[in-house]
Amino acid sequence: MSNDISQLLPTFIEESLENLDEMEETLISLDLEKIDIEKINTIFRAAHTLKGNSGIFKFTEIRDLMHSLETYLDLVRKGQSAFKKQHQTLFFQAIDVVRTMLYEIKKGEVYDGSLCVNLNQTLNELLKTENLESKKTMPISSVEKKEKTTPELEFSEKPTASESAERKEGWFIKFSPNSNCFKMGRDPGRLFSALEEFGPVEIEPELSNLVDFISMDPSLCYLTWSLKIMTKVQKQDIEKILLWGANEDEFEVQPLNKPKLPLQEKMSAKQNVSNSIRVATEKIDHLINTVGEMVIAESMLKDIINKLDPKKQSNVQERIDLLEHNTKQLQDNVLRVRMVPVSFAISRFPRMVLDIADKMGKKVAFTITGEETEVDKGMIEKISDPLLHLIRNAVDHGIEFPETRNKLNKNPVGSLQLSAYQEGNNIVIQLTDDGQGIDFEKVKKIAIEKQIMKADEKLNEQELINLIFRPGFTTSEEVTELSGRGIGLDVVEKNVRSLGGKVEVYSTKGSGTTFKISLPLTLAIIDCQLIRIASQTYALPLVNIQEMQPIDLAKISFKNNKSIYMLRNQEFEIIFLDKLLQIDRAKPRENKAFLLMTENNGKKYGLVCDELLLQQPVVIKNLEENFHKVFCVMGASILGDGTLALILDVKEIVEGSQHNFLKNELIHQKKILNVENNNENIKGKSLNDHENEVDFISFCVGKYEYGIDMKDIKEICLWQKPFTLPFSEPYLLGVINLRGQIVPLVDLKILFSNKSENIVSKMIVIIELTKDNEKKSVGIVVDSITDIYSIKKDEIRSIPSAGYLILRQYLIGLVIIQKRLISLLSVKKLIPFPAGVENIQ
Amino acid sequence: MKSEIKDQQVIIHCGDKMDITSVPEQHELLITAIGYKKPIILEGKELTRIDSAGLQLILNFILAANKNNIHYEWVSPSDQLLKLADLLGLSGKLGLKAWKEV
Repeated sequence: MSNDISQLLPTFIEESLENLDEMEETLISLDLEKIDIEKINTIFRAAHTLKGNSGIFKFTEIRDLMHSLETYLDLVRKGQSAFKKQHQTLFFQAIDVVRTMLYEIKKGEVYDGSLCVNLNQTLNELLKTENLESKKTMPISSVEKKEKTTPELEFSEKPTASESAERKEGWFIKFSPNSNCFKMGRDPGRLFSALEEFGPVEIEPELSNLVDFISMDPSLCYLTWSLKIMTKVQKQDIEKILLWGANEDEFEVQPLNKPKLPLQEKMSAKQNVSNSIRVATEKIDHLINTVGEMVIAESMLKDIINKLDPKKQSNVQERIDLLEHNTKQLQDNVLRVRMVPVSFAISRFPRMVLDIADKMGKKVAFTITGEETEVDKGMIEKISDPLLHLIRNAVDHGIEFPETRNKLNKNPVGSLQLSAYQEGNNIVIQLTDDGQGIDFEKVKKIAIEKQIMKADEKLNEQELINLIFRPGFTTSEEVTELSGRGIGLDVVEKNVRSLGGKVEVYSTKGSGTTFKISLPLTLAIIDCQLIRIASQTYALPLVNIQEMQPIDLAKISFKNNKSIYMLRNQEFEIIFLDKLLQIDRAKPRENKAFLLMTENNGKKYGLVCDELLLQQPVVIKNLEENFHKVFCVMGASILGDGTLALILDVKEIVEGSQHNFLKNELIHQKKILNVENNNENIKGKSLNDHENEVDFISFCVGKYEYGIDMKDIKEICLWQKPFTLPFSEPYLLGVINLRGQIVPLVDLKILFSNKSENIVSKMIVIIELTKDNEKKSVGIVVDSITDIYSIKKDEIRSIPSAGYLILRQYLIGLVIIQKRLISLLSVKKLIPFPAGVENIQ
Repeated sequence: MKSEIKDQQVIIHCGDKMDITSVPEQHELLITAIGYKKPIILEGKELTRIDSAGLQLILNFILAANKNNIHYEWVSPSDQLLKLADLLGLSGKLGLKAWKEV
């Protein structure tokens, strides 16, 4: 392959995968009882393109397989063969095989072409047995020769009657009014009314810019229009109307009778005028982060202005309001860039349902609505597998066999509906089947057998439904290839929860089941209730809170080591967040406290905090970026005043309080921190073997002086009070906000001496390392920076065999400069995160 | 504009004006109305002063009702409303096509 062609390989793969998707979608929609030749043509076209392109790239196995498919489709088009179920299955297999091969090529792996060859043989044998081989399986060269003379006839575009009508004189107008046009008194209705004076107008509105009803600003215009006007007036006359009042609206006026281009030219023209570009997700995420920072900076500015003298305030207030409005718009627009239609995740499901139903001998009509609903791209990737589990379950366990359905007076064809829609600030994906529904008696029996519940325990339907989300729980008596092992629903629930969403189940025995998955609009922002516990602010996702109210601490009683509270004649357990998260209180708890009601596995719990603050959307910052997952914490957020707040994971809090998880978690976190010295995949840039000289920065911590290689230092900043993390080792002071990044902060005094002292330090040295090819930052607290030195490597002395008991493990060596002993630290060993945290159980 | 709940339905009287000067206030009222999650009757016989801002507000309200599976119905939409919806190509999306043909 020449270099020029190899540059086009990614494009070839993308286009080929699109062709396969098109083939697959058309095959699924094909009614085998009544073949639609247009659909056969569509599959033919995709196979033909794939054949041609794979030939160019010398993927002969794909080319030959596509050639055989084409040959067969040609027979179907000519009415010389019927398209039967077995052919459809073979086509599906061919699509799967080629798709796998393309993915292998994409990854740069050695691909296995033998599957293609085998399938091609099967296809040719099938053609032979149908006694068609002699007529149709001709060498590629002859088929291509034939195609050069005839195929375009089938796809050429002859002008139709309606198209001829379109050749009337007139103008096509694309009109996008300025969003402030209403306020400026330029009503599009008036402009269109004026255009109607010139001749008949066809108007098509475009609603894609329209935002959610609740968040819309009704004084802004979100609509755009396409207009066709049949008239003999000149372009300037049209433009004069559109320019009326001001020229801030965007429009484009084109003649209606533009000559039609031949198909090929039309396609290339389409490619040339494409108004979209592919952008790497990381670039978009970077943009989102920057805008997030801007929102925080703007909010901080607002806080400062609110503290100004009211006279001075009024001068800037108007401009600040404008800045706030524009920043909000910018943030909305940037977040929208990450949104993709949910169809990206669900387009493969129809084929999958067809396959599973066939395998099971069931009949299922699968319908999808709302596939255009937009979801955050990150969510699409994570929601796909949970949905797959639910669909498999529905077909396998939910929908009955046709004969059973007949006996039950149900339609033998089961119904499975997948719908996506927006509900308030959530995206809902709902899967409804009309199968046998959940048998609550059976759930109860199994739960008792598995000792999940006691025989005399009384659970309501919702509580019983919640049991199906327990790991390993299944009501299926038979383990099939697809499901029944009890693996799945717990994973579904866990995955959805990790996205900040929830799963609800509604089921009626004999009538069917609905799984309703609610997800936040975006992964980057979550609606939260801010609360205060001791002196720190925390955020709780609103999706987990049912109600909030003051609590009378005197009315708390104790039963079986649990704190119980009575609300509206109902008893429930309460969890003190300060105790659970091990938050130190400088002052004793105030008498005033608040209760946040939540539900887990059908049971209500009350979380107790000191104060309810604001409710606001917060931008989620990932703790794992520079640290690791902390139990009971979903992430962190930077508030308007620049301070940090941890976003709490309500489910982990409730479950942690129930199962002694927290004690285990503390051990787990210690384990994490103790394995760090073995981390071979953590790399600093320091002490490169090829370099003979080392530049290092020296600093004082207590009585001692240390040095760190300059290459590992990202920056030095002033002291800021960290946000304490739950369940952390004493030397980990917490996390700080480093211009939007959440950075863990290590106290060397405690690390090296195991002694805690009051912080008198004034500086933080931020070091940067690479873990699993990702950059991580960690802050270390120092008293003062002393100097920068350049030394030769052979000046570094080894550590004496005696002494340096604790410190030894953190040292590279010692240097003596101007009669001062400086201990050179290995940054790799200082950092509080290990490799493969997730592997430690 | 005002709304009332009658026979398990939310009745929205559009009043005589829905334009750029009134839409901010009407937006709030409509947000409350949709929150009831009950079938909606839009009564528009007095609506004589309507502009594109007003129509866009009704359009987005109806789209939100559809998304939330809330049934809505028009009662006596005014000529001015029908004319503007037609002019902006929104009759179909606003469920006013049938009224236009009456």
